[in-house]
Amino acid sequence: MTISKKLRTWGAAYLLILPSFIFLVAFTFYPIAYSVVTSLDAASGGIGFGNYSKMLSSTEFQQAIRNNIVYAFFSTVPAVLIGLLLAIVLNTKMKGKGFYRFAVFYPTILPIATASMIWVFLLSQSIGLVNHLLGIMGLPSKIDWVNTSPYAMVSIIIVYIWKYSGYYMLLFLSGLQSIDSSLYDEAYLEGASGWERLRMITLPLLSPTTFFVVLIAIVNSFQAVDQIYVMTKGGPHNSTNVLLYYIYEYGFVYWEPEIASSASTLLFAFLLILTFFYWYGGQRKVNYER
Amino acid sequence: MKDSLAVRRSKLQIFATHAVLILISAAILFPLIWMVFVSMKPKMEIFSSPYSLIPSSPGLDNFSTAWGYAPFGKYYLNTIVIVFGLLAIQLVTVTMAAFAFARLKFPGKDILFMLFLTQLMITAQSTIYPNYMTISRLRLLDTRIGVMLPYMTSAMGIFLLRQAFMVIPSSLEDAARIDGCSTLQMIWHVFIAQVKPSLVAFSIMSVTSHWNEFLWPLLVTESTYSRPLTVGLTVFAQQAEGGAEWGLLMAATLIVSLPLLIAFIFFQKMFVESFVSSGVKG
Repeated sequence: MTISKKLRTWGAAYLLILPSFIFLVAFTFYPIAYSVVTSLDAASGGIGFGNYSKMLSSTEFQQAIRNNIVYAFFSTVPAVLIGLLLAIVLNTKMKGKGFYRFAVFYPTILPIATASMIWVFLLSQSIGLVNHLLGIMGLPSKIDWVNTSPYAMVSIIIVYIWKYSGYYMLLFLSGLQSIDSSLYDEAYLEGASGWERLRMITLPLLSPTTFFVVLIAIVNSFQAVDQIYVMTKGGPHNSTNVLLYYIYEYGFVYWEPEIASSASTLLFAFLLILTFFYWYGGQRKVNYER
Repeated sequence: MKDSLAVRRSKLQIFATHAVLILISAAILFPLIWMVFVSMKPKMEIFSSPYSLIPSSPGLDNFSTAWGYAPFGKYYLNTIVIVFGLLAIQLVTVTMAAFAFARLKFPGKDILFMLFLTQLMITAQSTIYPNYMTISRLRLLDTRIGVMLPYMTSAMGIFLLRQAFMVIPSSLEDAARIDGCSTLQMIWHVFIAQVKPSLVAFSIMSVTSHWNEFLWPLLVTESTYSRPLTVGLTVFAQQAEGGAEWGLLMAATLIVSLPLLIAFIFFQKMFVESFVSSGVKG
């Protein structure tokens, strides 16, 4: 290639990327830089960690972190397990497969804001169906779900599981379909039971998919804010306040940008660590498949 | 799927499988069914017999009342302008960038690509405060363009399309070059046609996620002038909550969700493929 032709290619490439790059810088990288600078009070000349120590020592923040960990764990684990179970069961020829897939996947495409609205109704204390069903089963049935602790946390966890199980099922299904079915035949001929085939073939070969699904599930649980805004507003007594809702509150309710920026910076750091795992795992996955 | 020996099942296993599936899918499907029936129940009936599934005198009154109660028509228009306006812009920005990353050699390519990929994880929700300040300084609060601006490119889209562009044989490119096509002409005439499935997958992702977007438009919009459906619904809910107007509320919720639900029913396979490509493979 001649030099001028090479330069022309470079120019074309940069021009093609430029529009996207401008938006990337303005709405992803500038916000990160803004948050870091604001949180460190760096605009005024010096650098200080005052905002961080103030935030970290406040019970509200500690509670939000604790809540977020509880929320992440108790929503991710059931949703991923249900997704896995559904995928294993649906990965066969069977009648009604399309119906089942619709029935478990449709919440993925619903807005969380509207989904939460349905659940507020289902969970209402006086005429909610959930309390009614609990009553039929002889369980406590006067629960004020979204307004008392710990039920408010249970409520937003239910919405998460309901919303995402079908999506994780789909991701597992595509992972399952890449497993070579002759492996199962061989195991079958050697006399392996269904359970053994699951344990010795399916789960190990599915592990790269599982790894990605769990990461995506954790990220989702740290993005939770819509259902909290609609259902609980972080209450009662801060019991459903999580990191992102905390950022929203300090940014837009209390108007304390320094605190909101400090919390955002921590969230970015956490997400970047997850991204690193994502890529590290991705690298391994590629080698594994070769 | 190929019929293999091992996946053949006994009658009992098939029965057990369906039992598990019916249980789980009924639990997940039920809120939708409940919403549909309650939205057709008259107000009196919701309180007199709250747990009967089928309304005794079903009607669409709740829908017409809800529609008249809040400017859902205007909300619809706003959502449609935002969602499809964004899609049109994204298709251009994303295709251009993806083509460069897939087919051209230039210094700094890997680093630039890595920078784009961080956007996959640093989602828009975590940058709401600084982005709000930006939109505010641009005097674009309470405008549809203000809602759209942060999303005018998509790392997910660039990634998806780059994968698709990469597998196109270079003989096609050479042929176009010999015919004297410029780079843009070549993208348009040769490459776009080859990556249609990926464009469709990305479009479904984009439309779904922006139709459903909530927190960002909630913050940026202030009035009917720019509010999309999801935000309009919560405003409506706050007004209706005092009277516990559940029938109206469920009707309004259905008004907001119906277009995507219908699209999903008709194009289930395309939706499913689109969501798969957005996940593990990305």
